[in-house]
Amino acid sequence: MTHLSDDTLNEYLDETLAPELKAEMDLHLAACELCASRLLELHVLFDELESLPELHLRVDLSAAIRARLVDGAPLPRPVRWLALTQSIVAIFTAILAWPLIEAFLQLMLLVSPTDIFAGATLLWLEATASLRWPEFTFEMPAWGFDPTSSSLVIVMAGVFILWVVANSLLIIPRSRRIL
Amino acid sequence: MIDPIDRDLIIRVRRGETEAFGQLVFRAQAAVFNVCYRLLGERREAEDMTQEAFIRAWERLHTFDVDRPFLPWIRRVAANLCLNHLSARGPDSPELDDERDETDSAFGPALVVEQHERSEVIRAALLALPPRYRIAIELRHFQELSYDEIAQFLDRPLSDVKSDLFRARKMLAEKLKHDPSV
Repeated sequence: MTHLSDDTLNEYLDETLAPELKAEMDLHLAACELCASRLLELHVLFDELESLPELHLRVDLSAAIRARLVDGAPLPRPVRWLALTQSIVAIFTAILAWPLIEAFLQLMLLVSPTDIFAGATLLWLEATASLRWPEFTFEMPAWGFDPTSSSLVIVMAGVFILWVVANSLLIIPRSRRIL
Repeated sequence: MIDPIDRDLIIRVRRGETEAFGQLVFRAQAAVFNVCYRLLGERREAEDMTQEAFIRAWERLHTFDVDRPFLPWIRRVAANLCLNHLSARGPDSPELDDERDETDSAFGPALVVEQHERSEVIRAALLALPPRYRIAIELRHFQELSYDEIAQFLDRPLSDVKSDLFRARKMLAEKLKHDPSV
């Protein structure tokens, strides 16, 4: 008598055999004690696995998972738009203020680091000698335009307000903003 | 079978409601944790992997068909993550954490202890299997996938899947037969 293979026994229990083959196996198992015993052993294993109880989950993971999702969530659309607007306005302002920046750079280039150090030392000596703040005057360089003009002031103030608002929104914890 | 509550929650999650995803996690977390624990054998690691599975599900929820049940899908996501984790971890077999199963308290204390011990032996025998055999047992016996579904999931030939599954059962049966406590 040819005994059933392990593969066939496995497929029998997995119920993947064709009906004709299963009928043949049933006949064989009814007559062969050895194969019936092997099938029973495998069946016991199936039962053992099926009866394996589920474990308790001691902690609720939903809060931790939600917190991770919030940390990785994209910024809300209004904040993204505000940040974009802030960047555009900053670039526009930098272009407007370029003559001012250029004049300042030229002024900086005219004064050497040694002169700055010598001037600072002199001021310090004067201050400590008389224990009073020295009186000094600062002459505005000739920039070629009036930096106190109302349009520039309005633009700078606008940029400042936008900067403060946008960055405040960016640094608010996301958990407070989204949930 | 599709759970209408899960379906409703998934639709809400797709609208961006993290609160709804929290509820979805709450409903499925124990089942997902058990998948991870059976494959990894360490509670802390299983909890971490459960979290990873839900994060992955969140990222891929737009690809999920709402007309299919959520639980089998998330359990497969978890199994896949654990399999990758096992491949990265190497061949070391972890010590099984001491656990309490959900045994029926109506049984007497002696029977509860006996059941607990038997469960521990089965879990230890499962963990002693090579990862590819362990995943075959998990997918066939605990997630009830067909041979074809397992082959598709693991991206392996059907013959390999059958071979792994049958060898896994043989090894498992031998381990359990030689363990005096069973």
